[in-house]
Amino acid sequence: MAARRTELEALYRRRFHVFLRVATAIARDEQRAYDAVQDGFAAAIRDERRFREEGPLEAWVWRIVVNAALKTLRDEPPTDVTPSVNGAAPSVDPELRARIADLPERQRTVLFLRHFADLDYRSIGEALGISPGTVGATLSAAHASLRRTLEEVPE
Amino acid sequence: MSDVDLPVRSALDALVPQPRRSPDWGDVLRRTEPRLWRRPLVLALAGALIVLGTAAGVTAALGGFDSWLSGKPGKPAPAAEQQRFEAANGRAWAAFPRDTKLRELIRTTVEGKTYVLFGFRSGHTLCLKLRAISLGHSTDPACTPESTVAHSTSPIVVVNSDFGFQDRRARESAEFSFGIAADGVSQVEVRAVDGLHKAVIGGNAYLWVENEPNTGNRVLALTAHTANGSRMTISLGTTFGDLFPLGRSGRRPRGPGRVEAPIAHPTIGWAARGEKRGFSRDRLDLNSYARTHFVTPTARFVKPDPLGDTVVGLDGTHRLFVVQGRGAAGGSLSNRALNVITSGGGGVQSATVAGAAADGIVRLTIFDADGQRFAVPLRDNLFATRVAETQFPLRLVGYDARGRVAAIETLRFDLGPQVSLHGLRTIRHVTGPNGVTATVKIGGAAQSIRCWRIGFSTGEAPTGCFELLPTGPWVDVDLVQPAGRDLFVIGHTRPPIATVELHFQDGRVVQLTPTGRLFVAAIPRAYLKTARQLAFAVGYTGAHRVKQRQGFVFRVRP
Repeated sequence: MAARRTELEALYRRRFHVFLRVATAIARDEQRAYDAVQDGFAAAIRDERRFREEGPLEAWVWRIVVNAALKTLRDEPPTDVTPSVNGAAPSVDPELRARIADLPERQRTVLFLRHFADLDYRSIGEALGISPGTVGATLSAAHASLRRTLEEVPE
Repeated sequence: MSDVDLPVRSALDALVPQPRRSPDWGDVLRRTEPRLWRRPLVLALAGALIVLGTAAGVTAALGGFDSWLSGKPGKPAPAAEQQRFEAANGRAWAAFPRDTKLRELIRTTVEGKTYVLFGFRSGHTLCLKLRAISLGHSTDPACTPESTVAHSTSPIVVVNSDFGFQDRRARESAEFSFGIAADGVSQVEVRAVDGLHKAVIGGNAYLWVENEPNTGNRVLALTAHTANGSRMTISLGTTFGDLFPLGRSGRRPRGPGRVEAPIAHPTIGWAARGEKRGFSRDRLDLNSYARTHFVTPTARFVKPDPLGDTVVGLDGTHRLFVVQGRGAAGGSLSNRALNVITSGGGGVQSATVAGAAADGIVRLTIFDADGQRFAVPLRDNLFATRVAETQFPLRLVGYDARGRVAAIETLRFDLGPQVSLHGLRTIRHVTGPNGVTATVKIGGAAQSIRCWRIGFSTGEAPTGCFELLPTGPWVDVDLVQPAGRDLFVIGHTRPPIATVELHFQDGRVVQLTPTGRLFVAAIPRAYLKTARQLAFAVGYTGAHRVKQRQGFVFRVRP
């Protein structure tokens, strides 16, 4: 158990910002994302016996953190898109932001895990409980949807 | 990431900027279930810190820390910064007092980027907080107990030895180290992996910031020079890799070792009687997990040190809670005279020690590894204090009204498994384009850990360890080590990686075969430039399929 705890701490220290960024993308609120990451790792410590070593520990933790972040979104949906800083214009086109927000939950999650966490298809699949092929198809669908939006946005 | 369209990547990066929060493992531990808590310990407590004579005389001779201990270092922080601090801090009881005043200690510019070091004192806790204005980042307060400063035998007290900010690509954008400096300190030298640097001195503090450091750059030691010509070096025992199992203190606990008058039937009377002392959970700004699943609504809380940021609570005679900020930790009360919870400082060099003392214990004292002792704030049987990691192991001693030792417990700071560097064997030599040679030594597997040491002909000898467990990145660059006029890349892999290639921006590839999962390579002469460069370590399976690539940044110091 001590070794697993050390392993989790090492993973946490090494990948904290990546976990937090993905959770922020999902939860759309950094504070709630922070809670999801912290609570997710705490849950991993509490439930470490449930890790059956059928895949990488990191993928198992990703599953916990992603579920925690999704839960915050379901429990308390954000009331608005992220406000701009100091009144400046948002740096992301509102339509694209809305399109990302409107993507099906699985597409968004796969997109965030691929882009922010740089996980390969297998790891994403292990984290979400789907096959690598499904990951690829889901990612492709997300791209197609967003690409359409980008093409519609005037320069 | 080639399968994510560039416009989509740009949009995602803008949509979710690099978060600014810092990791806090102590907070994770505080969110865990009670059964995983540290073993119950003994403690006793009293009111104010007792400053003993010994080392205080040393720092007094060096100029002392009077401005921190009894005065006001630096100057008042700008109003906007004070408001920002209050907004972040003042929402809950488990925070520093609302009227805590921020002081600006150092404002400096490094390669065009502005950094400001702020500090404040609250009760017996001294805290520093770095704000990187140009980068839009700031650290959470990093704190050290007053006793550490009062008893310091060094003219500087390291508060945050080594930390950094990253850009949106998780590449190092700044590395820093800061701490408290005595009046007589004239210079602080920072010895990092990439050489010697000078810190900025001001406001009875020091600050070192390096813009865009090499991957894995770390602080190795700090040397303080005083106006009277003396100097003292603090070595940080820095290692590299996944974890830092080396250098655990072999020191023994000090203080009383025998209980003179044990508490026969430990109890906390007011909790047993159901008295509503202190305040309720509603006064705390807990995170959702702590509120929903952890901290019980009937618990009552006390802030043992009104000027501290720690709240301790009891739910009847069964549950004990410790709250800092929005996070909570807790556990079941044992029938011991002292129940203690220790939690790490989360990236900084202090830990929180808190808990409950049974009736009959009227005073608590901590004896640290240096033989110093200090009292611990105790109120309504509950206590809390901060202790520097360097003070461990601690002995916590509870006294009864007649001054007899009623309970003792020893606290150690758990750093995980400990491994030895004995028995390393040389596995290869690597020579750089300018003639520097690296002798690579590696050890066997112990406790699922393997350690290495690389001796350079120029004198550097970094040491590191990595885990052999099947998790984590397949390819990990631990550090870029300058040696003479050469640069070396040191990293490790895990199965199924069979070979590693270093891909440079002009397309050049350097092929490597890890030995014992470790790889070491000299950076070719063409890239030994003062401009910062990005390259990738690419891991291949035995079938030469790309498994993972990891970016690393490097440059030669001017």
